Amino acid sequence: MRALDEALVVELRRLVGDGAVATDPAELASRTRDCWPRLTIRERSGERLPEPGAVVWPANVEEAAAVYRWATERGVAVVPYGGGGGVTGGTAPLAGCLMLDSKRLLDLGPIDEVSGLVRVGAGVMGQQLEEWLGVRGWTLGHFPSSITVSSVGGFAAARSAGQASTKYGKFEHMVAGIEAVLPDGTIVRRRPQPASAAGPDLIQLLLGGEGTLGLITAVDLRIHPKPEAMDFRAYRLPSFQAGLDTMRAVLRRDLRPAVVRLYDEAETGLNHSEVGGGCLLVTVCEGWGPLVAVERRALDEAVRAHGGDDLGEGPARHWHAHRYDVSYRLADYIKPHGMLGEAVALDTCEVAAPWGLLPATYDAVRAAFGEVMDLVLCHASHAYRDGAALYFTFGCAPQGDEEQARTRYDAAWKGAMEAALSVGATITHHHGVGLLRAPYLAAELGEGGMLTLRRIKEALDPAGIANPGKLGLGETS
Amino acid sequence: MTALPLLDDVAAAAEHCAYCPKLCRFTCPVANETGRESVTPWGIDREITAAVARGSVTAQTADAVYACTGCRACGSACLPGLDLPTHVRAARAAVVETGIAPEGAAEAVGRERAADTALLTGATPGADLVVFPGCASEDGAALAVLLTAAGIAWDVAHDAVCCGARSLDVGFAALGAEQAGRAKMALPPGGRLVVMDPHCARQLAVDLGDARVVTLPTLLAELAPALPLRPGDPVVWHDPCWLGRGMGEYDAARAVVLAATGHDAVEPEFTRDRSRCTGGGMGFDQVFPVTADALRDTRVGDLRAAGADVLGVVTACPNAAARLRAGGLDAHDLAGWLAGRLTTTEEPR
Repeated sequence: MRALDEALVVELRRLVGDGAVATDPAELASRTRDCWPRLTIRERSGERLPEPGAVVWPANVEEAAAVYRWATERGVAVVPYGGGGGVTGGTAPLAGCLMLDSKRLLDLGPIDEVSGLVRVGAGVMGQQLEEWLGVRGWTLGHFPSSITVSSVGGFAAARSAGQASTKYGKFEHMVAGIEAVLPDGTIVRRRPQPASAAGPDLIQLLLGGEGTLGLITAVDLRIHPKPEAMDFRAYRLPSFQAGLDTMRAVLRRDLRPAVVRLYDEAETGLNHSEVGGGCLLVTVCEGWGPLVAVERRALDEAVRAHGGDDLGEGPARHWHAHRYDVSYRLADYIKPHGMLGEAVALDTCEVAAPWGLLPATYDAVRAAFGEVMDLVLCHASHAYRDGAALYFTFGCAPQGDEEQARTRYDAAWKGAMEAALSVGATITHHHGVGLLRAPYLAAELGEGGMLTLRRIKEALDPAGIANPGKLGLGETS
Repeated sequence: MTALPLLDDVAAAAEHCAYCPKLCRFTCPVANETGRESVTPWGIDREITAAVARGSVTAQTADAVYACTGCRACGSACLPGLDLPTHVRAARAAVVETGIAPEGAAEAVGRERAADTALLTGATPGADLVVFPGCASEDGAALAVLLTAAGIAWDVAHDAVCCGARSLDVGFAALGAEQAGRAKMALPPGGRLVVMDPHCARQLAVDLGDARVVTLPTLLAELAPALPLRPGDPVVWHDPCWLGRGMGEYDAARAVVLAATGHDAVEPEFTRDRSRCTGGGMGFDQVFPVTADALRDTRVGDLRAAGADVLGVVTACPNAAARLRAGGLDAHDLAGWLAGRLTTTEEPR
């Protein structure tokens, strides 16, 4: 890929205007990493990470198309950037690349009240969208813990999931229509439809592309009236398996509580010691009052059938009130002189599997992290009729040895990804691939699957300029 | 102790912020307007952290730390309770000391000028209630009318002209400290100190620790029930950054509006702790006038959507009122607006 130089930046400024391009050192220095802990560790240990050569903010889809067309002609790598809240290095720049920031793509509304749809630009941030919908009586139902820093474009690029995904689905389930720019500047538009048999689903092809197939500039989202009723309840289950069986029993009845969040013994013991052992299950049912009552009844029954106890609504309300707090505590641990000492490595890993494979997935991934990490916690927090996601938290505190922190961190991920693959789980549920999981994607997709992905990439991005290296497609530096 | 002593007090907090996944990102008006990451609280604190590690501030530091309006919106989404304006003040002081302050910064220092003559004229030396007009307020005459109508004697802190906040905001730390010190020494001994500008109120109450400070809306909320006020149409209310997020005061001004009109204040979509900045805080409008005006225009749009063109806007910050007027709105500071509602004054046409 060609690094940006002065002449190329002049061309770019002519294309979109001076005010839409930045090359000042402060702005470039702020773009060296997303929230992938490995990049944070490298930066913390004094390494200077690659910077882009310029940042560009297209104001609309036509400008974004012009930028991509120009980049393809010039052979300049384009790395898209939303809020910078990703955790896989998906927006990590190549040195001298063009970073395309989506935050001026701010379409919003009007709400189609009849259909329950709204058009939203890629640059709108999650919390801004939810607040905007909220004052108009609607919700998207998408509540990732990164909601205050992440953008709609990022949600679409990485197939994000929020804490209420069991009811509202993952982000890809919320997208009814799409507008995107391909790397050669072609604009793709699919009007929102409830369903369609018009060939392969181009929307689902583009979602999860992480910028490797171009840029999603806007989406039409399925929205919901704000819930008229919310019901909070926590339970204690005697084991993680009993908790998983409880969740499965409720989902099998085709009920969709918004939140069913089961903590394993280790996470319950560390973060919820007031429960007094076993496994904490936090639930929130919301929506139409009678349906909420049915979901509650089903949860109560399933918990009883699996030997659980009702802990009342207190722990669930507490969780709901503090559901984003954990992200605020991250800095306490990973900063220099943090609470756990120097050179702490701390991360999360989400995998998913059908119910039938979930126990083996839990055992295998947990054991793999346990091989090299000091701390391994897990909760199941996104449930489906056919399976669920497991969300691991892991960390080590190697007493100031940054090299050891990085080595153990890499070994943990390698072990966990290989363990997940060995039992037939998917390597990621909602954080995406980025650079972090790129080495494992071929094993996940299989030879034919990876070949298909590569051919799609080559067809849509013949110059290879679209976020090179992410998803294991193209050069990484 | 670092190589930049001016940053010693904020270095640890700035570093904490720099390792946060910038969870306040959605709140920052400057970052939202420009799309830039270097001007987010995280970006600013990263630059401060880098400066501390390097032992020097640079033009790059200056670019980041002057791109803050001090609106405190980030603080409303910061669980650890970091206070970005404090970090910004310290870093700007280092920038000024190094001699690389951006153009416009010096224009924003606190003005030394005599207190409002209307307040001086009606003042009762030694009165329990002391008015601190500040250097920005234009509503001294209106406050005098209201106090007279309420039958309350007041004194004026006429020798305490500037609290130093504006100078400290833009990095002129020595001047700001001198102004603050002079103000503290010159304040009369009254029992209550009414501060007309919410930024000055925070400076006096929090930074200088004066427990007597009462904000103008709080005083007026006490006076309003006893004032002869003419019922009127509703008005749109704009929460000033330093009154709301800075002082935690939201209800007093609304009580004044209700008492004065018989209607609850009309709330824009972004209100109370989510109120949006008009772009004029901490000298931002002097250094980045174009972006400042864009922020103001966004806020004007919020207020127009709430009916400001018909109803008018009331706020309790002279700077915000002036900026909203410059944006085309019929905007008033609280004291002047309330005085206009007295039955003893001519009804506005």
